[in-house]
Parts: sequence; C-alpha cells; structure tokens
Amino acid sequence: MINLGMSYGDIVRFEGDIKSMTSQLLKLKNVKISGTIKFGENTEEDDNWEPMGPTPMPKIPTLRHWDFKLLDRYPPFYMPICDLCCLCTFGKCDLSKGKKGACGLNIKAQQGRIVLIACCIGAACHTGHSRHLVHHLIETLGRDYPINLSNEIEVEAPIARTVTGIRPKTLGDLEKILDYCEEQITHLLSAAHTGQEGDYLDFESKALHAGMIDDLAREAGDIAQIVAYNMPKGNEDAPLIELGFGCIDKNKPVILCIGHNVVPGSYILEYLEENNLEDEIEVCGICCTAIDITRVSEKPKIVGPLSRQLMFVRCGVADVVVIDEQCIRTDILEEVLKTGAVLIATNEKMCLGLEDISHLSEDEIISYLIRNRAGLILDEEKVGKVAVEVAKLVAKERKNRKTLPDLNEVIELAKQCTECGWCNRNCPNAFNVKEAMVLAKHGNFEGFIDLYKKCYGCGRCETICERNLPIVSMTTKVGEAYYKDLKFRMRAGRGPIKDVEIRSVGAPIVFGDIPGVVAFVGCSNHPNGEEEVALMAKEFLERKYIVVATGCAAMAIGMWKDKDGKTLYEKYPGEFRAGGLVNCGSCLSNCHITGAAIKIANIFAKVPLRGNYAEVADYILNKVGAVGVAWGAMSQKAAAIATGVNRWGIPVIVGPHGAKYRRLYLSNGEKFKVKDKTTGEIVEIDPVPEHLIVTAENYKECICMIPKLCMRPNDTPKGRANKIYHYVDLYEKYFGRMPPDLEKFVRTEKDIPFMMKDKIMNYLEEKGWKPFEKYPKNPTIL
Amino acid sequence: MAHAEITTPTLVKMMIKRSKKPILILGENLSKDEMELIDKFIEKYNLKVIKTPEEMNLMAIMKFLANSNYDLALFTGITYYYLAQAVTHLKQFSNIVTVSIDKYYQPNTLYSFPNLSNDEYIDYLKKLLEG
Repeated sequence: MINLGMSYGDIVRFEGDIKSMTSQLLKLKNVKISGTIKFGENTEEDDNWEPMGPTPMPKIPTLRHWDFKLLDRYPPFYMPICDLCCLCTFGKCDLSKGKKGACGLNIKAQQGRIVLIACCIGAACHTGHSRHLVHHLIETLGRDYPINLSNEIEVEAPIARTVTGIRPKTLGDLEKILDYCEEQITHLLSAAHTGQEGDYLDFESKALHAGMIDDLAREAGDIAQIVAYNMPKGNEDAPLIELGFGCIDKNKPVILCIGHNVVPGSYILEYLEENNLEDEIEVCGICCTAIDITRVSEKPKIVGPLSRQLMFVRCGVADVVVIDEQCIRTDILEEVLKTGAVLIATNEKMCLGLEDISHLSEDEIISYLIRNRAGLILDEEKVGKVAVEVAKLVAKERKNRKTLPDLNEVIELAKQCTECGWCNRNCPNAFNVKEAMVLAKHGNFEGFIDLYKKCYGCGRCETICERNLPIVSMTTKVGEAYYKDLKFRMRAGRGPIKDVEIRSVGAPIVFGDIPGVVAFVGCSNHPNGEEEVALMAKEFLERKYIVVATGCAAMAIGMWKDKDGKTLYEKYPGEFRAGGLVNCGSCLSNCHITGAAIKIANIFAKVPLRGNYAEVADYILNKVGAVGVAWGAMSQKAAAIATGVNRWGIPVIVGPHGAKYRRLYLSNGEKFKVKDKTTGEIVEIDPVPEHLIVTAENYKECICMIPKLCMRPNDTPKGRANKIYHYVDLYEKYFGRMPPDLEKFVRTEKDIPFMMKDKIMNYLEEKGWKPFEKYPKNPTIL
Repeated sequence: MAHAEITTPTLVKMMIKRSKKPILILGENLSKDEMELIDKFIEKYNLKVIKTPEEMNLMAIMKFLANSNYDLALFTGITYYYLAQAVTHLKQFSNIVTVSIDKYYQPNTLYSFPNLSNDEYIDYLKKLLEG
C-alpha cells in the first residue's frame, strides 16, 4: 500500500518493489499521472549536475577501444619469469619458444593473464580495504554522513565523477561506487580462468580496466577516511611528523601498528586521548598505517616504510604489535613472539591461525593476551583499550629484555661463517653480505654499516644460510650501534590537491612552463636503499618541478637530511606548485595524483568529466606533463596502481626490480601519429611520452628519463625548451654527455633553450636533424 | 628450456668469428681494469657496442635486438638480476644467440661464463684477447 499526497511539481521519494508499485497504480481508476516519475535513488536535482557522458560505469569492453589505441602505440613488452603455466591439471605446460599449452594458450597471453591476476589482486586489496572502511564508518556515523572536503575542493571525487558518473555526497554514495568495483573485479578475475581470454591484448585491456577500478576504489576509501577522521583536506601546512628509529621513545610502553588500515590505530588514539595517556604511551607505525594514523593525529610516530619492518620488530622495542592488512611479514607472529612482545591481529585478511577472541570482554581479552601472547580481535573498537593496557603490563615485564646480539656476539657469530657466498646470491639485490661477515670476523663493522643503510630486511640471506646465522639481527645491531641520528621528519599526508591550486598551475603544466609533475610512489624494494628516492626528489625540487609522493616513497623521501640537518619536507613547502613537495598520504591517496591530472583537464581546460573517461584520458596523455616513479615497486597493489595510472595516459618509471612484473609498455621510439582535432588531419609528432611504463637500471638513468617522459605534444616552444634544458643538463651532470636521442624531441628551432643554442644546434646538425613542418594544435589519439 | 650452458673464452671467440653480426651490450658496473680489457676486446673484434643505460635503455635494447638481424649478443657490466629478467624477452621471442661474458652466471642467456672471482674474471678477459 502506498499513500501519496502530492501536488504538481513535488518531488517524491519512495522505496519499494517496482512490480508491486506499478500493478497497484494500474489497479487505480481515474488516476492521472502527469510529469515524470523517476525510479531510483537520486533526485532530479542530484542527477543534473553535469550532462552524462558516453561511458558511465564502464564494463570490461566499454573502454576497450581506448585501451587498444594505447596498446597500439605502446605494445606490451614481455619478460617471462617462467616458461611454464601450472594453473590447471592438464599442466604443467611448457610454453617456451612458441609452444601452446593444453588449453591453447601461448606465452604472451599467459604473461598478460598473470599481469591481469596481479592487477586484480591489487584492485581487490584496495576495494576490500575501502569497503571495510566505508562499512565501518557507515555503522558508526550513518549512511548520510556528508562528504565535505572544504570549500577549496569542490571537485571532491574526480575519479568517481569521470568513471561512474556519480558525484558522491554521503558515505552511502560510496557504497554504490564500491558495488561497481566489486562487480567488475569478479568479471575480470573470471577472465583468467582456464579457457577464457586467449588474446594478450585483451588480457592487457582487462588489466588496464582493473587498474582503473583500483584507482576508483582507493578514492572512495580515502575520501571516507578523510571526512570521517577529520584528516587534512588538502592542507599545504599539514604538520611535520617524526620519522625514524631514533624518534621512538623506548622508555615508554610502545605500540607498533603495521599495515594499511587506519581503523584499529584510530581506536588506540581515541582511548589514549580519552584517558589522558597520550604522553605515557608511544604509538608508532610502519607502512601506510603509519601514514594514516599520523593524518588522524600528529602525536604518533613513523618508524619507516616497509623496508624497516623486520629490523624494527627484531630490535624488540615494541611491546605490542597490532597488525591489520597488506604488506605485513607473514611470519610476523613468530618474529614478535621471539621478542616477548604481544601480537594482536585485527583483520580477516590476516588471521595467522590465531584464536578469535573478539567476543570476549576487553578485560578478558587482556588476560588472554598476557597468557597466550597473541590473538585475533576483529572488533576493532576493543583494540583501543586492549592494546594500551596490555602494552603497559608487558612493558614492565620486558624492561631491558635483550633481543639482539651484542657487538661482541656479532663478531663471534661472524666467525662461524664459512664464506660460501650463498647469502649474496639469495639477496634480491646481491648485496655484499658475505664481505660484511668477513670484515666482522675481525671486528670491522664497515660492511654491516654499509649494509644497514641499503638492506630492507627481507631475511633471504638468513633463510639460505647453512649456519643459521641471524644476519638481519646482526645488521640491525650494528645499525643501532653506529647510526645515532636516525631522526627524520615527514609532512603528514594532506590528501587531495585543492581546486585553487589546480587553477594556478593548470596552464603552466599544460603549456610546459612548469617542466613537469613527478610523483614518487610505491613500495620499498629499492636497489640501493631509501636515500636514492630522496635524492631524486631533491634534484627535481631544485629544478622547480612539482613533486608529489605517497606511501613508502613518501617516507623514503623523508629519510635524508642536508648538511643543516633538514629533511626535504622542512626545506620545501607542501603546496602543489613549482618547487613544492606534496605528500598526499598512503597507498589509497595515490588517487589524488591521478585526481590532480583529471582536475587539470576539467578545471583548466573545461573537459567535462561525467562518464567521459576516454576524452579525459586523451587530454591527460597529450597535455599533462606528469610522470610516476615507483622506484621500489614490489607488490600487486603497485602493479594495479601503475596500470591504472597508465590507462589515464600517465607514464611510469619503475626501478630495476620492476622488470619482474614481466610486462612493460614500450613504444618503438619512432614518431607517433595523432589526429589534429582542429583540422581533422592525421599528423606525425615526436614520440612523447616515449613509453607508458619502463624500467630504469639505476637512479642516474631514472633521473635522466624523468624530464623526457614529462614532454607532451601540447608543450609550447617555451615549455619544450624548458624541458629540453633539464634533459640536457641532467644528462651532462650524470653521464657527462648530450642525450643520445635529443634530436627526437626538438620539434623546431624554437624548442631549443637559448642558453644551449649553439651546443644543441651543432649536435643536431651532426645527427642530420630536420624540423617538423607541420605540428598539430590540438592532438588526440581518439 | 634449460638454463644457460657454461662457456669459455675460447668458445666465445669462436662464436664471434662464426657470427655474421655480433653486438656487445655494455653496462656500467665494471672496474677500471675490467673496462680497459673490454675496450681492447671491442677493438680487436671490431664489435658494435651499445652502452646501457648511457646510450639506450636495456629494455629498449632488447626490443631492438628482437627485431634486428643481429645474430650474436654479448652482455657484461649490467646489474645482474636486471639483465636476468630483461634477457628472457630474447629467450622467448627471438632466435638471437645470447652470451653473458660477465663474472656472474646468467641463467637466462644461452651461454654464460660461470661465477668468477674478480681475479678469475680478469684472467678470462685476458684470454678473450689472446690469439
């Protein structure tokens, strides 16, 4: 039964089953209905904020045409790790040298399939994390809790607007976005089944789709946590947070949070505040949990990125370790118990075989943990009191407990080494572990000192050691003894880029006057320690690029100090402008980087966003000079993020370990063809950006590639000259020569920077360079 | 497919002499002494050389080689695990004969020197110059 009392022009909301509603109506006699009845959740007012574009809520095939244009210019380049496929019981099948598997698959398609699976895993991680956040926050704050990122950010969700056509106004609206994400991931993953997709380009298109879904899901999650926890909303003066082993006050009970999910940590902070214990308990974090809890409060400290996880746990400073999800060592239980600390698992993704004690009261849980030293608590609200009270108790009993060998013991352990060299071989970076041991036998710790700076504590050296030497512990001890100044600072994650910032820098970026936006993102599988990321950021800050950062890379940037003892975050402002260093936040916050590129298209160039993916991405590809650098990319999430960024038309450089993702997108380095929207002609242009995802062997190569990958067809002569200046200057600085492919990127003489005119002209003449006779005013690949 | 077969300086010299179009992909990670010997080796055999990353990105080199008519590619001085991954592209998608003449055994080239100490490697490079 539906009672309606309406007059003309009223907008009525009702919920109900559509069949029963219409049949009811049809049974009524003498009823006239005029006007429009819309069935759905949005009112007319909500729905008409912008005309809907051609591709809202794209399905797998919807943007395939866009993907195929990208893949035509940047074909997949495969480096298979394994010749085999062993996924089904017909196998294992040898796919080497053109052989087909039992299902008919070839090695290229198999690589595309693995890439798709990796991107789905990443997208599922972020979607699951965001769903958990949104679900939890709706339970605590309600579905109607508003999304308000302040007056300075009107385009609150550029990715959601573009991809789904939804402008989220409440937490409840984010559910619709996540419903779509989950649906797409199901379809995408199903395409990896035996006897599904058979074409490598279509696997890549699906991977690109998974990457886009990943980006969208991250935006939903980060927006939810920003509004619910009152995190910074684009504040350029977000507080500076203490970072590094040396910042952690060992005299207090220490709670260490590891993972990515802010919810348990937020309850710990809440309990401390309510009970005036903030100055008595030290809360610190590793990985993105650290970044996100320091966006909630500036009191916790950051130990460091993923690379410092095992070393910090081994040093035994933490009394309670709270884990949530993603990038946590899977042997964390064993490692924590060895130090006498207590482990609390808080997420269904990582249960570690522990007993679920969520149903017990907080006091019962505390008793259980004191006796059993580990437990699974899925009711995160209880974690607040439990973690704090257990830390207080455990700290007393663990006082002065030794968890690392003394330096004398390090020498005695080193003497047991037979110098077989397998530690070097098993080290992902082939570091000189054996050499460090040999020196340590004689009391010389130089090798370990050097190792400490670069090693990310994966423990593979220990795993292969026939003498079972605790190599990571030995390295950690030497580091503790010899590095006394491990105190750094990082600006708290500020979240989105403000619309007003985009208005200021949109034109200079698009025309090339700001030479580029460089985003340092991703994990910490660095070839040579965290410092390289900071030094790369420094190079481009000095050159007035805009530098943004997220996640483990944002922390790595903070782990270098100049001769005055200042980190880059203290030297450079947190504004999105030339020479600015912006920490957007955690892994989820990578969405604000693509969000900034989208906002440039919309706010500066008035490209409509709503359901208009391909046009926006085409704009970004041709006009927004940005490049991502995932120097230590390791995870499946990073693969999904990079692939999602690529679909938007933004190139990415990964470090040497990134080659193990098996797939790059490389052009042939020759001229590209585009259509000039102004004239309709197909025109040749220089190959910019040259590749969509490429590796660099070392940081010199990466630094020199960055200015090149920031070049775009839309650069004005002045803008291109600016970019070429940096390209040449950097090549001379790091390689002592002119860039060997410079002639490809000089369109006409006007592109040559004035101060290098003679040098470059002579070089171009030697190369037989000829200028472009025609160049498009408004390039597109659509 | 099997991993790389261990080879010797004598066999490498023979492979170069028998090849129609050999090329050396030269990385930066060699010591001064090793580089001097490699320079002489390049001169002796009049080898085409591409320096990486200075002249070209290693992946772009692999893409280029797979589509070229070079029939023998030698590698040295490149970050070990990086080359191991990059060269799988040639392993699967090209018929070019790949040889690592570095001091680390490279599993994914067709032929490779074994793991060598610094002194042993210098000896191997000197042997490449003999004859």
